[in-house]
Amino acid sequence: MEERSYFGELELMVILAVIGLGDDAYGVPISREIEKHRGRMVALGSVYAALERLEKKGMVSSHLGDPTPERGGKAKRYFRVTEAGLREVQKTRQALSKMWRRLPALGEKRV
Amino acid sequence: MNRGKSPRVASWLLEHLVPQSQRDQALPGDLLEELNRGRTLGWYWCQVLAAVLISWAIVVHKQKMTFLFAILWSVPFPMLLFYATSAKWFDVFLSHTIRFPWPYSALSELTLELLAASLYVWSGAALYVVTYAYLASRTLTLRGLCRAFVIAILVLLGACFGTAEIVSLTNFSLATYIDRRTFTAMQSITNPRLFLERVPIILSALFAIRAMLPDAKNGAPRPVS
Repeated sequence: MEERSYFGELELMVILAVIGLGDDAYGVPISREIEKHRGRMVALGSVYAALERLEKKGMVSSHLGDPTPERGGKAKRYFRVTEAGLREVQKTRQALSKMWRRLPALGEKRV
Repeated sequence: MNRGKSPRVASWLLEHLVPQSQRDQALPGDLLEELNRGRTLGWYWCQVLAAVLISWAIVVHKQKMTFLFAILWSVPFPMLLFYATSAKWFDVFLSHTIRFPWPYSALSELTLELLAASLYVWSGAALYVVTYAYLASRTLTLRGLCRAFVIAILVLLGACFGTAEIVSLTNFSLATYIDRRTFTAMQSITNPRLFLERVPIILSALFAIRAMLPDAKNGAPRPVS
């Protein structure tokens, strides 16, 4: 079965956070970025699950950094968006932008 | 500040309850980093429990057909066990075994029941795997099959012991509840109290199938330069 290529809500937020953070995109800043914009706590496990799905679809790639003492000697996993990922985000933005235009303002009568 | 106060139990859960395929040093490191930056122990515990639940939900989702098959395969087991133990040959066997001194009499009865359950699990796992291999054009190895048979019987032993402990601890006795004279095949399927008897079969079948069909690995894509 072919893997779907469109994004879920969390996946879209995660990939946008990865793009925004650039070279510093690993679990902690990604989840903090999402928390900042979403306004509520996000489980790091769900962020990693979304990243794993994105990596499987070829939207992001990852590599391990050096282990640090403040992390109990555990390495950070850094994520980067791939060309395919960037292309898919652009396509999603175009599709969503067209659809957002039809959104009526609150209290406005729907046709 | 919670520097160096990572709760051992939570860390142990994270290390042992998250399946190996998804276990990565990045998540425990991230949680520790956040804890050292001032997050509370409650936050750490919430994150660990969420990570465990999410990872198992992923496993169940990925293996949903296997889980569904294992659950469905376990449904008729109490009925078959009931009819097998009600059969005349079982009484003949019991009359022979009770002549042995204890614990050999109990051991021979347990061995027979374990063998019957193992045969049931093995036949179910083999049916699933052969069908899957045929439909997905996958080849099966003799080594994988042997490993699955061994794993199935070990899991079955552990799960049987675990359910027996639960039965004894919670007074969830089946013997006092089921009247063998009025017991029907339909009751053996619909009776919720028989769920515990199915748990070892479900677990054993799952582990056997997973041992025969290990997950394929994925390649990594090229990053933006």
